[in-house]
Amino acid sequence: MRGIFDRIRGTARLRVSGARPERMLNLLARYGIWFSQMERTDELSLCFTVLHRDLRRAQRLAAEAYFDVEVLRHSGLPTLTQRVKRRFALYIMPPLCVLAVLVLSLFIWEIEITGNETISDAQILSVLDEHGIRVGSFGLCIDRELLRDKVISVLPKISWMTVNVKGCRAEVIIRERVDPPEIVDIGSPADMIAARTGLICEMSVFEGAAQAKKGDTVLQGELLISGTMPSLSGNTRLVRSLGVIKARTWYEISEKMPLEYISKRYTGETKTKKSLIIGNYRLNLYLNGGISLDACDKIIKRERLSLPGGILLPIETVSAEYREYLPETARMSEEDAETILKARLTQRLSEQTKGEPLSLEFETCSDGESVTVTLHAECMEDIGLTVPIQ
Amino acid sequence: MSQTLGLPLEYAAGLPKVELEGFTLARVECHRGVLQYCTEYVELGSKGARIRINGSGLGLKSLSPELAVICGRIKGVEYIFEEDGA
Repeated sequence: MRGIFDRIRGTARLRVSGARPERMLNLLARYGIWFSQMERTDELSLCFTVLHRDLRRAQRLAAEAYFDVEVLRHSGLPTLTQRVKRRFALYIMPPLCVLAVLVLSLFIWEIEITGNETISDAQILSVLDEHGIRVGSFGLCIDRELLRDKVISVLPKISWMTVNVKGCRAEVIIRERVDPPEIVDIGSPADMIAARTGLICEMSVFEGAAQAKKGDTVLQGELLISGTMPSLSGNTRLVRSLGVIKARTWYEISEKMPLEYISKRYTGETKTKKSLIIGNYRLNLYLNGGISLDACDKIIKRERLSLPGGILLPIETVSAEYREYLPETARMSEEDAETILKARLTQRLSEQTKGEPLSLEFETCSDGESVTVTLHAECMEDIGLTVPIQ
Repeated sequence: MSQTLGLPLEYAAGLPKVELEGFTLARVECHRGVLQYCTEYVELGSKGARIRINGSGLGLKSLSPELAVICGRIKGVEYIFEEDGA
């Protein structure tokens, strides 16, 4: 406890030198100057500690008694305040920082959008920006009801929206409109025809009159199930044909690729341009905006600055790296071209049919300048297609 | 006079009073200042004699015109009377 008080009051360590330095102790006692931590260093010197407020008096007494006084060390709060007395920035900056935090936290520096699945963040941000919600806007005066009505009128796919402002972060919560399922009019009469040419392997008729059977080969557009059925009274009645017709179908698709292509040979020459984005304002940290490279790739890296603890700041660094390359003609091998074409053909087949491929055969043909790959595929799929009866 | 006023004799006569607490603390009242000081002995002036406190690691815990408190390992208190020589 004594040490704490000494730190607050401040102390000074003195060394007095002279004949019979004990006289200094008597002088200190006589004039009521408190001292401590006394140490006899040699016959003519004595060290002790006095309070900061008594330093001048002690020095004066020592001088009057013909002692040499040396201040070895100052410590405590008065010493610290003496040092920072002239540093005005230390007085001004802390309250200024507090004020800046209080004022800046009233503005929005980050917008987070949640709940959107089909509508992109960019779309929503663009609409919000048109209605005054953007990075840097004042966060206290947001009319949520009005904003929601305006945004929904522009983006009808949104069924509900709200904006929660927490400090300098705006959380935009979106609920998208769920489209009602397609209602099939089971009352309207329809036939079922073949969507593709194929060999029928399975046929299940739930409604209508079957016009083909298992084992039949049908052409595209041929009637499979008729919606016109005889009724018991002798007339015909119209129904909506319903059934599952699984058939083997065949596909033949091909693609061609030249063996020569233009490749990039990087020269090693790179240039980097850096920018700083504060809120919505961009500050370019370079002088010359042009790039003297003829052909180059541009790689952009963005990094958002954050404080320890993960608090994001509205400051982003953007680094654009330009890598020069020289276009030159290269030649790929026939095997590589074949591999690429096979992958493409397989992808195209999966897009054309929902059925399961039973067999895939690739046929490759090369003339030295290009490679042609043809895919012969056999699939099993449902070929029934409902068409209304006119 | 002291008997009349009921004062202790040593205060009335200005004689020093030495109190020892255990082996580590000595209080000396009515002294006349520190004459010599080192870690092995502390010599105080008083009326009629010098008081020398011997020991090791001695230090002046507090010093005022009325009271001197010496701390450390005290081995003995010696009075050096003026007629015995300085």
